Amino acid sequence: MRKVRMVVSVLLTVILLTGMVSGCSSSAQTAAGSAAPAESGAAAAAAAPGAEDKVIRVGVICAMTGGSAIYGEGAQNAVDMAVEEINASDSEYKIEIVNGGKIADDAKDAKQAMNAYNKVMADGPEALVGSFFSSVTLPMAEQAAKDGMLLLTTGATNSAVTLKGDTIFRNCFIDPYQGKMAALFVKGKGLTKVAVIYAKDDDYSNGLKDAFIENCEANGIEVAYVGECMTTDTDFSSQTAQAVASGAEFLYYPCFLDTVPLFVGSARNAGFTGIIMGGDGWDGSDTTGLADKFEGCYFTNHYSSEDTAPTVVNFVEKFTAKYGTESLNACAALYYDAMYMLVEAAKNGGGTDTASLVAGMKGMSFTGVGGDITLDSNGDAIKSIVFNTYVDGKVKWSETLDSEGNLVSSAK
Amino acid sequence: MAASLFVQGLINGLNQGAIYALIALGYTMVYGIIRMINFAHGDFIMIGAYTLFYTIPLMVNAGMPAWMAVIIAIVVCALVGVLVEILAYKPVRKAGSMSALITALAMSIFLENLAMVLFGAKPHNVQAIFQLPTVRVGSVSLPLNVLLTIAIGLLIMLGMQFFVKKTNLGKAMRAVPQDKDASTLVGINVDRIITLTFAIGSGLAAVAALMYCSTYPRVTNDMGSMMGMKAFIAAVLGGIGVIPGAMLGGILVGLIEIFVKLFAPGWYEAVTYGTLIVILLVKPSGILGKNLGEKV
Repeated sequence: MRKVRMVVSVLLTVILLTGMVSGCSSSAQTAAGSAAPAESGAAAAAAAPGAEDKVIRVGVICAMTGGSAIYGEGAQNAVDMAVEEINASDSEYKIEIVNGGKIADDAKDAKQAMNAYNKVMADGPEALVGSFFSSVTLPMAEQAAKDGMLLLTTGATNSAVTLKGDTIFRNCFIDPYQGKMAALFVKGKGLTKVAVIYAKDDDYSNGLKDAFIENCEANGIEVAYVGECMTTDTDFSSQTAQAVASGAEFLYYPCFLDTVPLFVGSARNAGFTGIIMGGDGWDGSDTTGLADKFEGCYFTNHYSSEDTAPTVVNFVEKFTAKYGTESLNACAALYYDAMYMLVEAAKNGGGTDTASLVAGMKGMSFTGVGGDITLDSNGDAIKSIVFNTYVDGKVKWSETLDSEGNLVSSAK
Repeated sequence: MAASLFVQGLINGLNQGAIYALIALGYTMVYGIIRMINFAHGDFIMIGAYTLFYTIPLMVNAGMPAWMAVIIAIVVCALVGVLVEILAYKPVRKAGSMSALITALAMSIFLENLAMVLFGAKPHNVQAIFQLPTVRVGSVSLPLNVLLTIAIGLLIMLGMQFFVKKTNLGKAMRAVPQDKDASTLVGINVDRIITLTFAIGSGLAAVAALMYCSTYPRVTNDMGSMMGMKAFIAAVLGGIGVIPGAMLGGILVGLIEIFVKLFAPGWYEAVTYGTLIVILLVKPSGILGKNLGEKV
């Protein structure tokens, strides 16, 4: 027994020591990394203190580590690509990314987000881009509003984000918008009877459900059944049996990807043969073994790499040639657009200082990879939306609708 | 209510109930022998489900039917169960039931987090296990899977009854909870009996995992906690320690949940737990439980 304890304690000591050593090496790296922006910051300050230098200094924040690191990787690639393109072009305004050209890491964590925010703010940027998640962006938006800093968020779909201040904008749609567009999709397909099953304990799900029902009723579509579930549920047989019994032709399930396979399986087993639709929370759902059941399922999303619009084709070709398809996601597209929107804002506002950029952002109309965007008075994007479907268990782009529900482009 | 919806609810309820019953059988087995509530039992099901997730493709590639993977799962679960018993439960067995309970809770959380580290937090879809058709009668759909789950549940229940009542090992198992010292005196190896109990209980978890995955084809690292909780309620409802009670309790809980969900989906958990409280107030030993006074 004593020997075992000895071995265990020796092992633990070794583990602790390795932890300390690796901790040292990583802090050395950050020290080296933070030296670079300090120099560039000094250079910029020396060049023109307060004068117009035609260079927009941008701080970028995204999740670079943790479970969502693939988003950050896509964002970094997209930002690098956009900056290279803009600076190589004959554009009047150029872009410089502070923090040595690197995206600051928020690790999809609200506390880390403030560290990342402070880190890029130390370099004196004129605009900030980020972050991709609402929970992370909310505290940053609050601080940015206090600091009078322009914050262009890329994936934060929670409607409260842009209400934090006049300097907060976004280039993605807000949560309820997807519910409205799903209703317009139903109308476009000529269906008249729908059912909704939503997660009662989730804000996102409630937001989409409310908007969907409101817009269905406004368009004369009968909502035959509204069922609740919990985000932790695994059994949906009762709700789907009710949906089938209600005679609905369309089933809306605005929930996150982890329960989507169970739900779709349950609905199909209950004998539901119509369209099942969800929001961007469906993106990445596992369809293994359920390919036949996912036929006739749709979900709304920010953008599709298969879209035939010229801006999308151009972006996808360049990105794939440079970085491959692994990090080619909606996050990359939205960060890419953000860079071009800032250049557009500088043109509109006539300067690269924060005040001119904010003035330039207001009411902007912009065509990017994420579609045609118009910023409304809140700073929210009114934009087109992508409908994806499933073929043999794989996500396939089906069509893109504009904010009025008119067809912009489709796969056929 | 339309008659077809009622029949459909009955079928769905029996399906979910039969799965709860399978899990509750393992729960009740361990409790019946060593008077310990093994909160980690649900997590043994998670281990069984992950084993199935990884071995079913191997089975299919080898040209064998997918359900054969359950044999490997039974072995893995039994091993984990025995290991957990020897490493965690045995050292605290003398310290009283509270220590055992807390150890079981800790073990449950440990296993869930271990699974997250090993397999990731992302849910995985399990391949189809039984290629059983769904019979459609009018607007009611009857998946034949349901009948299979119920049949397996009944078979295991009868098998366990026979084993515990008729065999020598079973008799030894019943003797241990009555009096450990006296059992030792008549030549029963108490430690070995307890280990065997865990092996059987955990092996049953693998069978439960098979039937769970054939209805809800998804594995996650935290699937065990909810399942374990429901099965625990089922076992207590039917009378914990009583083998047919687990079967009855499981099916009752399943039926209650499905029927509440038909009309007020948000209320189903409140009603399930409420039923438990009522049963405990009216008949504390459960529906089939015998009211034995505390032994002195």
